[in-house]
Amino acid sequence: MIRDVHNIIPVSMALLLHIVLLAAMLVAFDFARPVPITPLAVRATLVTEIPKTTQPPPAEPEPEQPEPEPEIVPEPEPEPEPEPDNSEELRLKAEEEKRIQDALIEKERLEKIRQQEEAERERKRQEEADRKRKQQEEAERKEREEREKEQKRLEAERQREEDIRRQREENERLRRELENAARADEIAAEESRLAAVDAGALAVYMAAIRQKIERNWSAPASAGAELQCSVRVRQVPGGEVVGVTILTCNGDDAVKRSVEAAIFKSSPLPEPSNPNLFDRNILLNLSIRQ
Amino acid sequence: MRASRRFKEAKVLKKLKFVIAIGALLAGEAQAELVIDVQGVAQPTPIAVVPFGWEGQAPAMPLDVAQVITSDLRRSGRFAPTPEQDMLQKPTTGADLDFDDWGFVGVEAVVVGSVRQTGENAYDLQFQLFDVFGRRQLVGYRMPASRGTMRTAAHRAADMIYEKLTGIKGVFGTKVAYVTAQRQGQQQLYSLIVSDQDGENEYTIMESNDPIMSPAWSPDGRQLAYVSFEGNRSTIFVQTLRTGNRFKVSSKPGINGAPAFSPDGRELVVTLGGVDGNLDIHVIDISTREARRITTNRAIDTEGTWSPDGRHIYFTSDRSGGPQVYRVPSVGGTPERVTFEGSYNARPRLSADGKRLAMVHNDRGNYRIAIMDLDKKQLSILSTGRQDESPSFAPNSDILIYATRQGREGVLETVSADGLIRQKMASGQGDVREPVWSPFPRF
Repeated sequence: MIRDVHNIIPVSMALLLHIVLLAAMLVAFDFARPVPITPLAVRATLVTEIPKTTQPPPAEPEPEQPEPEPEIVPEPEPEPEPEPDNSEELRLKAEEEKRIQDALIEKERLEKIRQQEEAERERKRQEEADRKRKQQEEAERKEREEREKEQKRLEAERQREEDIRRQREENERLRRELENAARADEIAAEESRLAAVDAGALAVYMAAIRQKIERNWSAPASAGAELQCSVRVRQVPGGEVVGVTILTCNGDDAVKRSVEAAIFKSSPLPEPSNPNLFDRNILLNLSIRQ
Repeated sequence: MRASRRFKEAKVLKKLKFVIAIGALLAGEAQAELVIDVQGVAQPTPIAVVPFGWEGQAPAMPLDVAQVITSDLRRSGRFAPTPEQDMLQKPTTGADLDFDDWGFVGVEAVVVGSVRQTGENAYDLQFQLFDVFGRRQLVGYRMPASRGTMRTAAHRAADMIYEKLTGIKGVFGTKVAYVTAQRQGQQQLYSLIVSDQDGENEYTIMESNDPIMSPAWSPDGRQLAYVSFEGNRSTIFVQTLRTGNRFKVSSKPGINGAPAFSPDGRELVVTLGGVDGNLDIHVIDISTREARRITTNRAIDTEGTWSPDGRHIYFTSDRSGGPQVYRVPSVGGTPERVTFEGSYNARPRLSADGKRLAMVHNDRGNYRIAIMDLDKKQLSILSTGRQDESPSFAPNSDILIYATRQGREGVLETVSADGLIRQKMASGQGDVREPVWSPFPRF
């Protein structure tokens, strides 16, 4: 207790000295350059308490401002001996009392500060704990969500694959059905065609085409007895001619033109009595009637 | 057990049916094309010659060019021109042409064009020929012309159109020479006339009260050789058409007749009788008038004509009894007989391609024009008259002109070499005979 009290004095004196020195420096500074002084003074006040506390230095030290040097603080002077005068004694006693009183107040004040700081630390610890807990919770939540998401994705993927597989099977089934139907149609058409061929319908159909083209063919004078032309004709259902290709022809340009004109003039070509006799491709062999 | 077996059978049957069906399909694939034989005949090509546009001072162009072309094509027998009133549209340029419209009415080719006046007596004749179903232009030209040459230009256009569509050179721009005889009081007036091949533009080369015979064109078409009996003796003249100048080539005692130019135009093959009256084939150099004798037979050898390659001279001879066609190397040599069919084959003329020989043939008492394919030795009769004479090939070898009797007068007819197309030629006054077709004009 006494030590504490004794400590107060050098501290106060040191404080005082600091203030004086600082003031001197500030004045000197002032001459050197005009720097706002107030913040420095304030800071000086705050700094004094630092050596007192056993706490680590505050979390946010100010690196820009050099702290006042504690080394340069001189040792406090020994107190002058009290005089043995009675009145003096009374006065001294009162002074002593007042000094003790002050010390007590000061101690109380320091204690209060310490408690405040303790409370502050406690609060901070609490906050930190809360924060950590919250973080933990958040992380856990996230992880849970992530897991759920992944689960859902996998499920969807599986579902999709399943759908594709089912669709494929369905398609394949349809294709097979259509193919079978088409094949059946083709077979039926072929049977019908063969029957029609047997019945002479094909010959009638071909004769109709031949006659129409012969009627429309104005063979030019240069078409001689030895003329031989092979021409591929492409038609669409309905008999419309969509293409004429002269494969071989020993006639001249005039003959070739006349052949093309004859075929296009004959469009649409006659249609067969039995639609199955229709053929997209016709090969014409043209010559001159002798 | 039984059911299972039947099921199996059904399955096998099904399989078998399937295999058969596939086989049928494959067979169908293999003949997935109808093969049709088409036999055509030469038929007139449907064509439309649209009236030409006119740009000039006068209300109408100096000559209806489309009309000239149309009649050329129609007269050839190879075309069926669309009457003007049947035309759905009358474009004068290719840009205004709608192929569908023309194809719809079955027209295979369309000619459009215009005449534009460029000076007092200067015109531009432009024409285009379109293939309706091929949807493309086949030929198109612009030709300068005057009032005097407009008809010639129109014929040239017709020639180009004809050649594009038939594959054969057109002869609308060629001329024909012939002889007419008209009664003039007590006398006959003989005229040597040249006209366009359609009978237009007649003009007289030479007139005489004595007979004129056997006109023949020079290969360049600028001269005519002929026989004139003026002064009561036969003389072979060569006359230049443009100037009217003529000179004697042969006026020997006896007969001077039947001249024909050599392909190089330097010589004439002629028939000379000499004092003893034995007609023989001679060749006369036109510049020196020197004659060399080709045949020496005691029979009549006459009506000589050159083969287009100049190596042979074909002529008529009765050395075997009746008149037949023979040929002899143009440098001289042994004659060989060419015609054997029938008792009378005379007045030979060769086509310009050298493939066919035209002659007068006695067909069961009628004198008719016949041609013989020199490769196949096949004779075909082209004319139908009783007294047809003087066949002459057009320079495209595809048409012949000859004289036939109509009543008591001779008229001219043309016939295609395939015998399918025969046309009367409206020309000449009086008795018309001995037509000869000119070579192609040289522009």
